Amino acid sequence: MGRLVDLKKAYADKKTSPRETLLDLFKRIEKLNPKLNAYLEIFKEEALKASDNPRAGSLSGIPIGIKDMISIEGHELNASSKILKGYRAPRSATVTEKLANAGAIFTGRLNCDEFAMGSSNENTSFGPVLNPNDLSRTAGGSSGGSAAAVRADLCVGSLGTDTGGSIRLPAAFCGTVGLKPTYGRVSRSGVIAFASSLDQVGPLADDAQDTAEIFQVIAGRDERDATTLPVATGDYVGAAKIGNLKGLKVGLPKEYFVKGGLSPDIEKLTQQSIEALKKEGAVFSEVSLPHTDYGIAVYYLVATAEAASNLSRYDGIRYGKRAKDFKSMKDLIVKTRSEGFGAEVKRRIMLGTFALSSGYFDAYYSKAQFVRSKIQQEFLDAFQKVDVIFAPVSPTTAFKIGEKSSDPLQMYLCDIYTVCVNLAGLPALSFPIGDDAKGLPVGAQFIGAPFAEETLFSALAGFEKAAPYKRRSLEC
Amino acid sequence: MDSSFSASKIAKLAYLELSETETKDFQKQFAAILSYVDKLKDIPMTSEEAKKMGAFHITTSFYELMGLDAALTLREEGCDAPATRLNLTNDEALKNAPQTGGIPGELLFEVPSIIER
Repeated sequence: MGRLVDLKKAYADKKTSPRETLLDLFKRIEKLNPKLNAYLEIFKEEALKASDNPRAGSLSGIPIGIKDMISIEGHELNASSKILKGYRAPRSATVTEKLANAGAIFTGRLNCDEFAMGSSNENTSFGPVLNPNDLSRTAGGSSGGSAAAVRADLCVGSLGTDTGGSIRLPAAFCGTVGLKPTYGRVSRSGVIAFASSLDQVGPLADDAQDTAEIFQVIAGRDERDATTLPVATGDYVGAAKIGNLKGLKVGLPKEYFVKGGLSPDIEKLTQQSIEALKKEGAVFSEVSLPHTDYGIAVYYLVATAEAASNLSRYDGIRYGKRAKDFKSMKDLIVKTRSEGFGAEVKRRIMLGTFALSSGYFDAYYSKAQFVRSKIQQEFLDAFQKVDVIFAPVSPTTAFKIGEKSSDPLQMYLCDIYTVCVNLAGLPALSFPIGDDAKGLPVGAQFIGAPFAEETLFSALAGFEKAAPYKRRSLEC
Repeated sequence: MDSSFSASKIAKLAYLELSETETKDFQKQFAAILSYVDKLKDIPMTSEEAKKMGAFHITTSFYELMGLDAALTLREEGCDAPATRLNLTNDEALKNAPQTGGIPGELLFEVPSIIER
């Protein structure tokens, strides 16, 4: 059982109170956050006050951390960027409103890559998040704070956002569970836009049940986001409780298991996980996703094109930072953006601007969308034959801080096993399957058909029974 | 890499001003990134197919798959529609502005003059 479900039981049995829990938690945050840098801001006073009389609901008194991409009314919201320093959210996002209505208590704002652009949490204006398993390594990105805080027990669950792997990669690097929902399953209203056709908000927590408890609250159609679809939500909590692998048809995409694609330790653990699933009755077959190899190229054109458009709003006029010395309106905008954005954000805005520019539009943007449609179709075809797809999350475990930060292309290639899921709009659940020889967590993911999150939770619950992951005690 | 790619030209289009070091670094990094994405050239696409991509959206196939009517995602517009709860009052909108001007009670976003007298 994860800490969230444990805590619910402890509250019900009057073994502890939300106030006691939060006092302990903030003690721990104050001790560890200076090392990990997972939180940009903690809401201690407000959270303690709320803990005296938490709202009733399925998450009553449960401490949840929120990525600095998601609005909480009245609180600062920076997207880990200097350009939004001082900005306060005038309204809560639908997801934080739903969590608050379910009784959740927000512990603070979690660090991430600037505008969620990155795979290592090093592209933040406020210092990188360090991996609780090894402080010399990255927590993964972009939701590094969300994963590190859950792993180091600085919150019981958290929200992240996943545009190309930003929930699943840090979950894998830190050793937590993380769900990237189906595109259109969770509202993006009040969430800072990076790439609107790819972004989804999702939960991170200890295990299937804990993650499902949070997802159950945030999932659903929202009138404020026309891209949420009117599909009935499932019983995710129920699916995560039962767990069933008997007869589950699992696809292994041959393109994800090419020779040399994974580090030897990850390869070994992945094979062991497949054996454990088989033993419990899962039936494996090979599936083919021939355009996988084009995923990164497609992603870094589509996502950057959308980012170039979305980030044009940061102009120093209506909110955020404004440059000091300017000669004209245009000069004001250019100077504000040049001073306010970090290097990776500038790179992506420029790459997207290039892909959309006259003369290159068809060769880059339209071509990328074309290949994207093929990637989606291949997945949908595969789900005619299998219930879920089992795949790695990352070719390596957490790498050292600074190891890839000078080579953007190498950094982009970290996302090789995660981006296609976003391009196809599918749900995927990342979970730990063991530690490598250095003691660093290794992740795997179940990828599902559109709106098949129940199947994912059920599969993970089955896996957790068959091959439970033992988190080692942290040295930090 | 496309030889016509110029970091300084694209920066201008993107309303960014790069330092000399940034221009040099970006030029080099974009060379690597663009030569990587050039692999998309392997995949043939007709001009008809290219045209269709303008209207491509990831949820289109979900509608078919889930048997949904696209009209169901549309909502009422109007002052009382629930979604408009998000609308900001003038005061709320101006709260985050880096600079405001005008008379109290009628504050506005302040920007440098655009039209010369």
